[in-house]
Order: sequence, then C-alpha cells, then structure tokens
Amino acid sequence: MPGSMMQPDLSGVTATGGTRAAALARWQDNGWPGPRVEAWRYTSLAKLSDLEIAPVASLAGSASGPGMAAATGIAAHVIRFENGVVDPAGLTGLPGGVTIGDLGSDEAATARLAELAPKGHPVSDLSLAVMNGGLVIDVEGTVETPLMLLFEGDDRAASAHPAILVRLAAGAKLQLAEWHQSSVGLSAPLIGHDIGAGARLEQVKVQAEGAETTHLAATGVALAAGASIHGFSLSTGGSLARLETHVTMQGEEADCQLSAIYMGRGSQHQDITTFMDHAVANCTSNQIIRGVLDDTARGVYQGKVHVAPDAQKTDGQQMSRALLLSRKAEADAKPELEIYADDVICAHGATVGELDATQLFYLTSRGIPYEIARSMLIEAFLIDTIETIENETLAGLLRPVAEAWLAGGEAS
Amino acid sequence: MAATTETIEQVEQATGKYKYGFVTDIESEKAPKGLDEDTIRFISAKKEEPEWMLEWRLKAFRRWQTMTAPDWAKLDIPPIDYQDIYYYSAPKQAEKLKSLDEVDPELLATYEKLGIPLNEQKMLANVAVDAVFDSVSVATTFREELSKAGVIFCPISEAIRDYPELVQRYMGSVIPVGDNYFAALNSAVFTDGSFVYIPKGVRCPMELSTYFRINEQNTGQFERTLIIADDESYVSYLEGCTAPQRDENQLHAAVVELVALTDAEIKYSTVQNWYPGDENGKGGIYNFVTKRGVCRGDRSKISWTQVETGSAITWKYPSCVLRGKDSVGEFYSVALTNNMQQADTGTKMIHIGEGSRSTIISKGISAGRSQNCYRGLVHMQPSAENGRNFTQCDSLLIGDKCGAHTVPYIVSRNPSAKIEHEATTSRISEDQLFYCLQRGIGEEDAVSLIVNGFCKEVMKELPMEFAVEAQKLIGISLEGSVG
Repeated sequence: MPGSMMQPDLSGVTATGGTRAAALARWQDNGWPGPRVEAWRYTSLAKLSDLEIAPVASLAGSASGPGMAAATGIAAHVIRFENGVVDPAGLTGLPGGVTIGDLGSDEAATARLAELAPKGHPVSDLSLAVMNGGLVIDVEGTVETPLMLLFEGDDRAASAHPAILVRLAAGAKLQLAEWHQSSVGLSAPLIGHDIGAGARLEQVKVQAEGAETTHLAATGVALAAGASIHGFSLSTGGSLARLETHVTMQGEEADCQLSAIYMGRGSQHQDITTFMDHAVANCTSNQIIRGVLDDTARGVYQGKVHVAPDAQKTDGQQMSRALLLSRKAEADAKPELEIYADDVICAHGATVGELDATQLFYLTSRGIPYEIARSMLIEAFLIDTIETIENETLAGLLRPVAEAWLAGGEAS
Repeated sequence: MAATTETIEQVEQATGKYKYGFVTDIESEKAPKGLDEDTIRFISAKKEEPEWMLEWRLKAFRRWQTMTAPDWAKLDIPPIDYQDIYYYSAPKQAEKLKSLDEVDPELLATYEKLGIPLNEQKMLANVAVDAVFDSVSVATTFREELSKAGVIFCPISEAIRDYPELVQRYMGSVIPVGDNYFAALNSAVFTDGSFVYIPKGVRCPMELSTYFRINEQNTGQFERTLIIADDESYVSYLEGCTAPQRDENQLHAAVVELVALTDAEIKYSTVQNWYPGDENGKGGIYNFVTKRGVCRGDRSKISWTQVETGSAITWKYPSCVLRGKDSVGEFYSVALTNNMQQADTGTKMIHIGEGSRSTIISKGISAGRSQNCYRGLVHMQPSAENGRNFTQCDSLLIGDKCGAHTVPYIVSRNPSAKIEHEATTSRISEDQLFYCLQRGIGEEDAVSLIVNGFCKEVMKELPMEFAVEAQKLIGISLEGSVG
C-alpha cells in the first residue's frame, strides 16, 4: 500500500465481503495511479496522495427539498446527494416506471456495477468499496419525466463516493441529468448505465463543482442489442476534473453518441477520457469533443476506439478540437484507434489552435468590438456541439452553464 | 471478394516469400559471445579507436546496465538474451582496400545477387555506395568525386580517427547515450555505419547510399550513422537493407543522428526489407532503431521517408527536433506488415522554433495476422510561435485477422500554433471499387488504383533510385496484376 495514502475506516466493508471487499483489496494494492501509468500521463493525481478519504456517513443538516428543478427550469424529478449521501426525500414520489433500491445490500447489482466500471480507474474500486450513497435505479417503459441526480455538499474535508447503477429494461426510455455542484474535497462518483435491448438513454452531465474540488468520475456503459445512449458532458468546475467513460457494445446494432465540452481557466485541469469498446459487429459510435482553455488551464482529451476481431461493419468516429485562448494554456490529446477487424470505418480527427484571426478580423471590421467578436466565436465553437443534442429539455440545461462560463471570462 | 483475395496473395508475394534469402560463406572474425566491458574494449581496440571513444562507449554501457527495455509499444517481444549475441564480426580482410578489384569476389557476388553491381553502377546510377557487410565497411566508392566537393562520406570508424573534432562535437548531441535502452546499447557496442559531413554552401553532387546487410548468424548489427549538413548545404541519403533468410532472430539496434544547420536540408530515405520471419512468425529481424534529426539552424529542413516492409518486429520513430526559426520537419511512411510481423512505428515532431512546420503522412497496410501500429507525438513548446503541424495517418486492413492501430500524442503549449490530426482505418472501399468497375476499369486495375493511391503521397517522396526498389517490395502488389 502506498505509504502516503490515508485510509478511511473500512472495517465495515471488509466484513461485507464479496464484490466490495475485492474492490477494496484492489484499491489498497494500487492506490492512486502514479505519473508513469500511461492512462494518467497527462493528469497527475499527486495532490491526492495525502488527501484523507473521508466518506460522510449521514446527512449533515436537515434534508432540504429539491430546489434544483426550479433553478434549471426543467420539470425533473430530483434525487439529491449531499456530500455523497442520498437525501431520502428524493426517493419518494418517483415517476412511473422508475424504482429505486439500495445498492449496498444488492450483491448482484454491485457485481454488475463492478463489471461496467472503467477498468484500471481508481474510483472504480475506491467508490465501490466505500460508497456512502449507493443506489440501483431500475427503469421500465418510457419515463416521461426526466430524472436528475443532483450532487451537492459543502464539507471540504469530505470525500463523496456515490455509486449508482442505472438499469434500463428492454425497450425502456429515460432522460437523465447528472448535476455536480458540490464543494467537497473529492467528488468521486461511480456510475453504471446498463442499457437493455432496444432501450435508449438520453443523458447529460454538468460538472460545475466548486473551485477547490477534485472531481474524478468513473462511468461505465453497457449497450445490449439495439440499445442506444446519447450522452453529453459539460465540464467547467473543479480544480482538477477527469470524466472517464468506458462504453462496451455487447449487442449488435447498438449506437453510442458521446460528446463533451470542457472549459478551463485559472489553473484548472480538465480531462475527458473515453474508451469505446466495439466488442460486437454492426455498432456505431460517435464522439465530438470541444475544449476551451484560458489562463494557465490545461485540457486533456484521451479517446480510444477498440474494435474487436469480429466486430465487422463497425463505424467509429471521433473528433476533438481544442481552443487555446491564452499563451500559457496547454492542450493535450491522445485519440487512439485499436482495430482488429477489417470491414470497418473508423476515423478520428484532432485539432488544437487559437481563434481564427481572419474570422476575428471579419467581425471587427464590421464594427463589432474585439471582446464581443471573440466571445461570439468561442460561443460558436461550442454551441454547434450542444446543438447535436436531440433532446431539447436536456440541451436547455447546458446552455446557461456554458454561457455563464463565457460571461465569467469577460468579467475577470 | 475475389479482388481482396487477390490482393492478399499479392501482398504475400511481395512480402511473404523472401527473395533475398541466401547466405554468403565468408569467414568472419568475431568477438566472443556476450556483452561486458571487455567486449567493448575488444571492439574499441579492433577499431583502433582513441581513448575518448572507449570512455564514451563505457559510459553508455554503464548507463545501459541501469536501464530496462521499453515495453510501452504495441509489440510482443520475446525475451532477448543479450549475452547470447556476437557484438563484433568482421569479414576477414586484413589490409585496407585500394580498389574494388581487391574485394573478396564472393562478397561482390553477394552484392550482385542483391542487385548492387558495385562495378557498373558507379557512373550509371550516380550513387556512391558505402557498403556495410556485417559490421565493417569493405568498399567505398566515389570518395574522390565527393572529396572534390569537400563532402566527407566515410565509415564512422574512419571518421572517429580522421575527424575526431566533428565526431566529438556532434555524436550523441542529437541522441544522448542514455536516450533509451536500445540507443544506449548501440552507443556502447556500435561497430560501423556512415559518417557524412556536407560543408557550407555545398549541394552534395550525388545521392549518398549505404546498403546494409546482415550476414553472420547471431550477429547483432549496431550501426551508427551521423550526418551533418552545414549552413546552406543539401544532402539526400538513401538507406536500404536486405538480409539472408534465417531461423534465428537477429537483433538490430541502429542509431541515426542528423544535424541540419542554418538553411541546410537533409533528406533521409529508407527502404527496409529485412527478413520478416516465416508465415508462422519463426525467425526474422528485430529492428529497434533510434533515428532523430535536429533542425538546429533557422530555415533548416529534415525530411524522413521510409518504406518498411521487412523485419519480424519494428520499433522505430524517426523524429525531428525543430529548433531553428522557420525550420521544417517531414515524415512520410509506408509500413506494410504481413503474416506474423509486428510494427510499431511513427515519428515525433518537437516544435521549439518560431514558425516551425511539420508534416506527417503515414500509411499502414496490415495483412495476414500482423499488427501494425502508428505511434506519433506532435509537441508544440511555448516558444513555437505560429508553429504548424498537419498529420494524416491512414490504415488499410487486408484480411480479418490483422490489426491496425493509431496512437497519436498531441501536446500544444502555444495558442498561435495550429495542429491538425486526422486518421482513418478501413479496408478497400467497396464504393470506390464499384465506382471504378462502373467506369469499365477491371477489378484488378481498380484495386491497384485504390491501393496505389493509398500510398502515393509517400512513394512520390522517394528519390528515383529508391522508387524502383520500393515498387519491387510493395509495388508487386500495387502495380502488378492487382496493383
């Protein structure tokens, strides 16, 4: 065990045995990945080595009502987590077709979440082991009301380890928003989306954590035959954020659209990492990634598309673009293709650059002030990505966050 | 589909049956097997090297002993017993040769089989050949003509004796002894290679060429090449390799260093066709090469072109360090793997200078059960104002048992720098085939057209002399009945 690693009291977990005890053992063996681990070459977790892992056991104050839906203007059912702990208020009055159970007491579901969890990611093991809010969300049929998982909490000394398995039965449809706005020390959500045959998940994630928070998310997705996920992440918060998603196509004709925008300023570190595993034939995946970096911020995109030997007729696409707004910003990209089948169409593209000087000149020559022209171009760079989201309700959640970030830049 | 099957056959013909699989029977003078400081002292003594060179080698060896072999590449490398290799083997030729007539006739016959008629090609091909047979250069031609221009083109062991100030100044300045495991090994035990110096303002009157050839069984080849292009000079250097068919794996760990000073240009072209092993992956060369060039002066240019069809395992990343203002780096590569071959190859473009530009065009073709990986780095340092990179990596899969991988690393630390990367992987497009057929082009010609077009951007970068050889290797499939 790495010497500097502070350990929570986990006697309870060890006693539980099974999947969680195994995850704990892996975590204790491996700890945080060091700088020589290839998957973490651009993102250093050195500052976490002396972080105390302190999951909060119970809700701090009185359970507050879900006020988020009103704030964002969408009629969603909100399930709130505070410092990683579930607020039971959100578990009642669920929309039709949704049932929620306790993950910790469901060994089969826990084992499934462990299967979906990104391999080699520390949070996959850590949050599974120490989960302080564990839920199994089962969905059947078409759920009209969007679900929102809202992560709050202001205990800087706490680490939040929500572990959630979302299971969509065959043919189910769900709109899901994941909203992170806590200021805990470490926010380490482990989320699995187990999407049944022909089911469809429309999902957005907003990462708008506090300025001091480290956000390390591990998300696993499994797609059965004909299943689809249309996911979009917007990452603007935290001092260090990594959103890592692993998708496995387990059935043919599955479709995965996974896009993301990261925005960094100050000394923020924003990392989007994806692994797209085309394990079977006839599946499609498409990823669009946009990054905007100002001041001394650093942005990382790592995306790997893996096509298994028999996964013929795979269509895997990936496009990442990063915009550097300052002299000291840095963008790193590693878009990978690993292909073992021949009848495939796979491509990736990556660009890094600054705003187009001729476009800026065009706008300013038309009398538009430089600052406004600049923010128009940045907005245009991002908005066309958000516009790929088919679900208007969910897209509506993202725009204000992106606009607020852009406005924040002008103010500073 | 018939055309695809045909293509597979053609690729097999091009790479599967190794045509240069013969062995020349010449007695060799060897150092004992194994590697320790005594081996290095032996090599250094054999080469009649000055003391500083021996010290340099020993330093590299001590460094190597503390290192471990890299394992990050997408390669499955069987363990190598470094103590089971001969590190020095020279054809038995006591006295220095004055002319080709003195060369062992059997040796000359070997060259002839390889298609290097030393005697005839002099003026005909206008190519000076510094032929490396095993580890010692036995014949160098065109020395006179080159020396008239002031160009130095000689075996590196000679350069160490005759031009120590140049060698000391530049050797290891691009690839330090401890750069990586194989470079350190090479620095300790290198036996020969070429040295080129082009003086200020000189355009080298001919294309320089070295034909490498591994002959002695169990002999690692550790060449070291150093090319220096002084201000406003130009040189085009050709490297080509063939090797006899063997059952045992042979290790090759070469180091090539290029230095381009102000306004200088170096064009380095390689056709690599070493024994790739048989259909089951038995035998074949391990090709672990470190190649790097520094564009040290403003407006200097280094261009790497490679056609890689041989070797069982290739680990090779010809790179450019673009230090000079407005310097230019280029990398054009065709890598073809078949049967059980593995290739992990690509480039690094390190942009330091203002306005430095780089272009990377990589074409990977995988057939059989081979694995072909492009791995590249584009790094814009904060000083690389208005730096520019364009990268294109395309992979073509022939058959469903092979793999094609693309691993680009992009690091940008200057906002005015522009980096564009694109990569595609596919098999021959049915749409393109259909389009051609519909226009009345026969299936074979259509496949030829498409595959030929796939590599064209790279092949056109090869010098004329090499285009022919490259076509022999890939061209059989591209320009022949299918291509």
